[in-house]
Amino acid sequence: MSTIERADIQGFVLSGYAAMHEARYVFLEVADPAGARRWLGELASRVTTAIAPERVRCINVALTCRGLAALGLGEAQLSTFAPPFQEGMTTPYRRRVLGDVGPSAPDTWAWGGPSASGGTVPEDRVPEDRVPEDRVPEDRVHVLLLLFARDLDAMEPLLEAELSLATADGAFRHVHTLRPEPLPGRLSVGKFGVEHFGFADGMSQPVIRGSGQDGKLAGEEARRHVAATGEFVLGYPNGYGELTPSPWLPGPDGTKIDVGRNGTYLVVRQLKQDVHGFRELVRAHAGAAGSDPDAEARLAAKLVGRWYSGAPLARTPHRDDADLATDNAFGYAEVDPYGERCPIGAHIRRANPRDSIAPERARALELTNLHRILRRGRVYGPELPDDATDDDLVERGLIFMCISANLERQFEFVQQTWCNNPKFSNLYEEQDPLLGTPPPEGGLFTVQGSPIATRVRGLTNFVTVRGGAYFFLPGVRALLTLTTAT
Amino acid sequence: MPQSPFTILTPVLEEHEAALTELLRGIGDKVMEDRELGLSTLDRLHYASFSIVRGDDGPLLVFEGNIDGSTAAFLEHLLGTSPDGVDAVYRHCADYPALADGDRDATLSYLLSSDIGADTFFVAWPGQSLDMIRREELLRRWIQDFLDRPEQAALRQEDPVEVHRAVVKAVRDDPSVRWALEAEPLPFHVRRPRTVLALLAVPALAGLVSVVVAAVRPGPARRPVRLVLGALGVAAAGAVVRLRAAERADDQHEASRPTDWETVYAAWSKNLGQFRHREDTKGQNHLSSIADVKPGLFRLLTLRSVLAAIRAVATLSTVRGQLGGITSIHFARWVITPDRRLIFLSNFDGSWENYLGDFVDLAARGLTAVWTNTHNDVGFPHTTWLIEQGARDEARFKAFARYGMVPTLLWYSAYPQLSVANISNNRAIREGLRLPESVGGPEFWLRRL
Repeated sequence: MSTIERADIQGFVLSGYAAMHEARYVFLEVADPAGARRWLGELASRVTTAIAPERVRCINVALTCRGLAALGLGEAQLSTFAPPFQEGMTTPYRRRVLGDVGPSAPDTWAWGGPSASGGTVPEDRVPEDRVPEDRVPEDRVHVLLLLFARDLDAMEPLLEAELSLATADGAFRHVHTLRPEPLPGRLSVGKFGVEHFGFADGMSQPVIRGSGQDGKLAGEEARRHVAATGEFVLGYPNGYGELTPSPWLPGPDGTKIDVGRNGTYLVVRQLKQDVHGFRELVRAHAGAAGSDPDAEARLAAKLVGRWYSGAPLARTPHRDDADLATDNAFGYAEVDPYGERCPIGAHIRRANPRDSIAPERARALELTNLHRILRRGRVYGPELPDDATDDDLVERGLIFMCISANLERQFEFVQQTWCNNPKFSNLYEEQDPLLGTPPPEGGLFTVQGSPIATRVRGLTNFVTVRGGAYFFLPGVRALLTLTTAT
Repeated sequence: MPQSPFTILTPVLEEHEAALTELLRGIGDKVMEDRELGLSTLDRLHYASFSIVRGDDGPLLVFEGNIDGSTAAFLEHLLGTSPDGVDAVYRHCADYPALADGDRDATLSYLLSSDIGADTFFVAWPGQSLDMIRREELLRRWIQDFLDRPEQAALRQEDPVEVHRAVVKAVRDDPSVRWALEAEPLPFHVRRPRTVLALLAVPALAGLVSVVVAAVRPGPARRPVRLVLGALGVAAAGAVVRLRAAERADDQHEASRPTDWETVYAAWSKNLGQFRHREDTKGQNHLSSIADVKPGLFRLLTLRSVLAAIRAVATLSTVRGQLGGITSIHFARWVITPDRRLIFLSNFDGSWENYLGDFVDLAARGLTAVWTNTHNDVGFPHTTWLIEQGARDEARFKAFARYGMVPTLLWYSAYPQLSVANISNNRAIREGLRLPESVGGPEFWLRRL
């Protein structure tokens, strides 16, 4: 159990492919089930596995539940997949769990929203007005082809070749493509990508036990960052030392064919960022605070929990310090129990509260690590120039992707119980300052401080969901099994 | 004022279940506006719920209440304020003497005699009445608004002692909040749990010492005391042997089941929608569940003992606002029905996933000791020594718990906008106003704001 079956795991699970500067995320709709299965079976031999890093191009593939159904799997065969995956992202319940309400409601999503025909939404109906014409509804999002290439010269032929194979003989219809900005983009301290609000991103990722990375960490650092293999790959012990229920297909004579092993679930969400609105809020409040030239950067850092460079407030509360930009060896319990350095409700403290969620630090880390996700996001859309005085109305944001073996306990939990929960860590009525959906009169953010806290009001909707879906990212053998199952 | 639970269990008339379900769901959909039952107008009601569970002789209506004061006083008041609503609900129940028929005492005694109370009742903050909770929330908002006023900006440069003094003065000057400066203490056992424990420990220790002395020192009592101690030891050993035998029998039962639990749960999980209909529509949720007590007297006795032990811990706890480390429960109860089913009703903060995660992560042993004595078609996970393993099997325990859920048809919370932590923080703010040292001094008091 200690070794990971790299040859059977898709490479995207263990790597974000930072050396692959170009990426295209291609959505396909099954048109001819037999042809689609044939293509997927052939694709299995081209899929990039976790065995060794590729140098020029990488191909990975994931499927929605509707995609599996379109390939011909029946209800009974799908019933052992994780409930969120079966239900999809747009049911009334999941909207509440994920906070996809108001401007982020799925009805207006560019892709993945409810279909006009209704599909198989199991709960009460959703309103069907306000549906944009050119959107790609969830019942047409079947297969996600993840294409990566070293540069544009390598990407163009790859995209063309793969698209023509997929659509040959009418197996698939090509319905949508997401095109993230090429890497490296803007970098902080020459290493970490900068997202549109201007912050270095992606410094803190869980390390998978058995991935080889975990051997480099020891003691406190290992406790902080290493998470069980089964948290990210099905078929291995999870954070409880148990196997997370894995989907299976009924085999001959009552046997079960495990199709989960070496697979996992992939969350994709297109998050539009209102950079102008974010800067406006910071400007307005910093201006009101007086003539301090650093006030804007300080308030922005308070909202996020890190300075622009990535340096955590928990380590350097008063000024940005690029030397600490890569510092991920911090907690809150000892240095900042009251949020006077990094506010209790700051984005990174909600998204990963580290050692602060239980009275005992070591236990708190264990508990937090039951709710980790592997992030695989890339930025899309052009930057808003630093000196822009008006909103250019160009869409930009993050194609958020994350991997977790248990969608409910990991991704959805982080979203619901940490980020969007007004009662997070004894707070009263505020959500994640970046991800939350504030009320029409504006959201609240509390900056704890001495002698009294400052309440920042008037937060607007800085992040709007524009599309999303749950995918299954199968192991290579399982991909073959799924394409031959009847 | 002490809080009490009632669990009124009444048989639903044949063929009335659908109509009653519809009625209760209808009221539940607009529970804050409803004036027929008028739950939101009752000033002693913290939480209430209605659900329908299976009984041996047909469906049973469960009416759960978490109230200030006694059940009799509450129900009498309810019959006075909402006679039509009570009749509208209970006319679907067997042998109900309607208020409209004029004999109010008969109606009251019908409800009272159907109340099976709680075997274990947990209250996050015993003694804190609904009225106090509401007033202290208003006070918190009042103080924050005061501190946020532009004309108070200068306070930000002040010493915490000065800020505290300024707030106290402002509170004293405003008749709408002046009450906050008067003491309104919680019950003694909540305020001084250690004193209570010490007082209880003295006679217990004295008794223990005298028994040991009697068993050791030569004298007329030595022989009978030794006999009794010996008998107790044999009984305890017998109970352990019996327990392990029961657990092995469970394992055999598990090994021989025709369909494994994952298949049972996967097939059933299509029903999840009926629970999620109202789940997570506000910051709090209600969980209503039922499971059969395993057959035999042994399991029933074990379950009763475990519930009694948890009741003792919950009553004498030195740390309030939590049960087994779980800090999100406002009110919860277990109650065993006359036909051997275990009902669990709880009112909690946050999501189901978070709540059940806390069960597994923080309180697995205690909850295993309770639910291992029960079963349903998914089945409680493999348990040893009453408390080991069991709920630690996260996936199966969650499936067992989900499967055991009963749709809550009507649920009322008097303060859906307040978490357990908020209520205790508000309490500390109010106490600290008068006695800042009670919360660690003005600096710590201000951190709560």
